[in-house]
Amino acid sequence: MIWPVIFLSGILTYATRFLPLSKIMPKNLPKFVQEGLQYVSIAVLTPIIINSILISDNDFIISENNPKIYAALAAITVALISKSILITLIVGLSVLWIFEFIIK
Amino acid sequence: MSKASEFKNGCLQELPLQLGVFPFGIAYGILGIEVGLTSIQTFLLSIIIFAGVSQIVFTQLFSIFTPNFMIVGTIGVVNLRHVLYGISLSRYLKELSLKWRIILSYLITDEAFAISYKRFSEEKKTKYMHFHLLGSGITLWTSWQISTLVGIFIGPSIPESLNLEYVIPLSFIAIVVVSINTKIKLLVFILSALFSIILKDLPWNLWIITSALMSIIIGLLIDKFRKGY
Repeated sequence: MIWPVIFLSGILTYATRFLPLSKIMPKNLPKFVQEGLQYVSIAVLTPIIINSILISDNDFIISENNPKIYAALAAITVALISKSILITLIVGLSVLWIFEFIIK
Repeated sequence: MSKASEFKNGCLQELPLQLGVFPFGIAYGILGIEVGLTSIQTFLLSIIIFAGVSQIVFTQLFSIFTPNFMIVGTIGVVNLRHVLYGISLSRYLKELSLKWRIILSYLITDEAFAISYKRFSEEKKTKYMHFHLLGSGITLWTSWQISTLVGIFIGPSIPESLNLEYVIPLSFIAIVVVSINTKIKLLVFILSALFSIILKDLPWNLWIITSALMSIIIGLLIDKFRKGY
């Protein structure tokens, strides 16, 4: 049964958006909580990045034949310089396609 | 400024960001179908959850068979960043009626927050400035729903060799790289990467939530130690 999971996830997502605007939540959260919240995006997205780049069929693929590694390295470099999602996407995908083409 | 001009500014300022959002929405649509969700489920996730990262986590965990409570729990952690946005926005929106706060909460996303918070904090406060968030939010909402539909319907006809789903980790790379602006955040990034490699074989796909929480906690402890609060 997938629907209850979808609705529960939806309610939970909405709650994290509404609670700070409701009158229920204290105005000032403890400092370490506020600090910790700033790490959430990085801490959550990184495992997903690692998973999508290095893992295929539940196994690590760390070799020079994994074009996704090159695309990711290019993306990191371009993101550092351009700070633009769009340019990162274009360069990352191009590098991926070029290496796929060379390797295969 | 009038309601209409605030609304229009919100829409117009949000538009350029859609260049990054649209490919991401398409990639999500493709991924949803690929992991075995139906078209309706993939689409309604975009309406009900309406949060890109959470939906990606949902599809990923769904595809590798995760207990339901783990899916919901992981999404809960992923969403915690909304609390940060809400806290920052509450200073500007707290006096609004309940009805407005209910509507605007639904529209708080990374991209709408980025645009409207800039307006709230840098420009003159006005009576109708919440219409700015309404405009940026509705713009993002519309493009998210359309791009999801595009992904659902064109997905099956795109050759798999193009690897369009790879747009997702590439977007995440851009977001993470841009947001690393302190040493502690760099440390959290490295820790999270290491933990996710070490912990990959934990049961129930616990690795996302465990890597995230452990890297946050260690980051906090080190920050506390350095600053001494």
